[in-house]
Amino acid sequence: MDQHDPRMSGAGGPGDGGRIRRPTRAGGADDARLERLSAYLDSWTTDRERAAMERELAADIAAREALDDLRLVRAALANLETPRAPRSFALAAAPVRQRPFALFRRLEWATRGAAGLAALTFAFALVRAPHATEPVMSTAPVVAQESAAVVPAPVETQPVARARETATQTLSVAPTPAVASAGTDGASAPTIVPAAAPAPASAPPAVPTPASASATPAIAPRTLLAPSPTATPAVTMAAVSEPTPGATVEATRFTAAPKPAPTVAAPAAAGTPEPTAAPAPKVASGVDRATTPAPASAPGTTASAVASDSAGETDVAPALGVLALLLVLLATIQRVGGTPHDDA
Amino acid sequence: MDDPVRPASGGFAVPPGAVGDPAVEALVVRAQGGDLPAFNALVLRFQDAVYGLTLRMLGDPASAEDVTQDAFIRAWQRFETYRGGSFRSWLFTIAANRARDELRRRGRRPSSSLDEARDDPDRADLDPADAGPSAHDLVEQAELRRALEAALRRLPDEWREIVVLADIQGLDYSEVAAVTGVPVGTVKSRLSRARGRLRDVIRESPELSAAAGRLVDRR
Repeated sequence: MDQHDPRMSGAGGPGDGGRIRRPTRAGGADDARLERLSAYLDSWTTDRERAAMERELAADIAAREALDDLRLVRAALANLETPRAPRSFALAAAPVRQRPFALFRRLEWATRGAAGLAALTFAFALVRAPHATEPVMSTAPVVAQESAAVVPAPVETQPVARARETATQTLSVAPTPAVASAGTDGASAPTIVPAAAPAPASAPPAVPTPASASATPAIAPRTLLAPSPTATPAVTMAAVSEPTPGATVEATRFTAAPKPAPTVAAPAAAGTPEPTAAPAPKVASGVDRATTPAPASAPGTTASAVASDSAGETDVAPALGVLALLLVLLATIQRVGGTPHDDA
Repeated sequence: MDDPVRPASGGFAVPPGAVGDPAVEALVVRAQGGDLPAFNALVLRFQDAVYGLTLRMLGDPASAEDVTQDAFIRAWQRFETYRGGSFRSWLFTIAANRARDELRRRGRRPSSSLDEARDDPDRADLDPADAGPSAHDLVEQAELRRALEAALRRLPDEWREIVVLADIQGLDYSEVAAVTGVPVGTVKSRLSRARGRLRDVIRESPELSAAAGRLVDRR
């Protein structure tokens, strides 16, 4: 009965127009017949239902009486006057229309798509980041060197942009005294130090010198978060000795420093108050032996480059995550607030 | 089947605000564009019907007044949700939703009757504009209205809303379904039961039955 194809058949025409009968046979009409009669009265029936009802009305006087009763009720209700409004409900001033939700609704699919894209990007960054840091694990000393070398620049001599570029690579190293001293000695240290970065990658495990031992803690905390203040200056001085092609990437980056100084090793070593500064040349000798292709370095990619790339991934991922969350929140708000049909 | 015109025998003309009313449609277009005077013209056109709906749903003139005002404010604020069709039905939807909210908030049946409001000397506006030709008919019709109003108040809220929309406001089944948010089959069922209940009320009095019969004869 819900699939209506009502025909405006005029079934509700006046009948015999009599009074509503006292409860007789009409009172025995069950709810189903009452419903059918009511729908027939309003011409809200299909042709088939209408034909069936007309046959029933022709055969059953009680059905006709019930139909007349319903017709009287409907007429009486229609005759009830509509009360007049006690006052004007016109608006003196226009209330603020709730258009933001309309905008959200129009942009619903756009925001959903953007949220999905951001979420995918975030997920991709998360998945990719651990693979990128694996080479860094095997070349942890390189990272340590890079960190130590980079730190002095932002401290005093490097521009702010440079400092921001390297800030995440040197978080744990920055507060160390060694860093401060290197920075005061000049900005040349960073320009050269990373050049030897790939070299000691394989050296520390092979040379158990004090310097390498001091550098070892830098390996454990994964990449740049090594809290050891003694490892970095030692490697810093070792890095002076042997620039390698693989490290030129970082070297090129660091030579953009506005204040290059030629002499690095001696001031850096002399200025470093750490006791590990002295054994550093031993590491350098180890580096000499290790300047052969570093096994930990990926072909075609230097360890320092990989490290910097992974650092870049971790920089972007949180921002993407926040962006994704914001977009999802926006989509949720528009779903909640964009249901004005609760009133209409 | 979009807003079919009810049969003339049902006593309902094409209601103002139904689909196809050029004046209403023009005002709606202007109001959608932010034209407050056009919207107020719509308010003045439909405020009696909306107030009548809320008054019969709530039974309390003060609450009906508040709900009617709130309905028009929300209609303005959410005019963008009107997507064509019967503007009156759309207004009824907003007003009925607000009235239902009020009923839920009260958690009880209508607090007072339309007759009580009519007995208020300050509410002479509720008196019928026209009456029967004789004093006897006047009394009889008034008694019939009073009995019907009282019977309406005793109906379940869901039944009363539907019978008011269908038999007093003149909406067809699909419009009632849209306004109340229930399927057309439910509208048919509730409407038939409400009519059956009111029929029983009229049956109880030969005078009421006779008055109802004369109403049909006059139509």
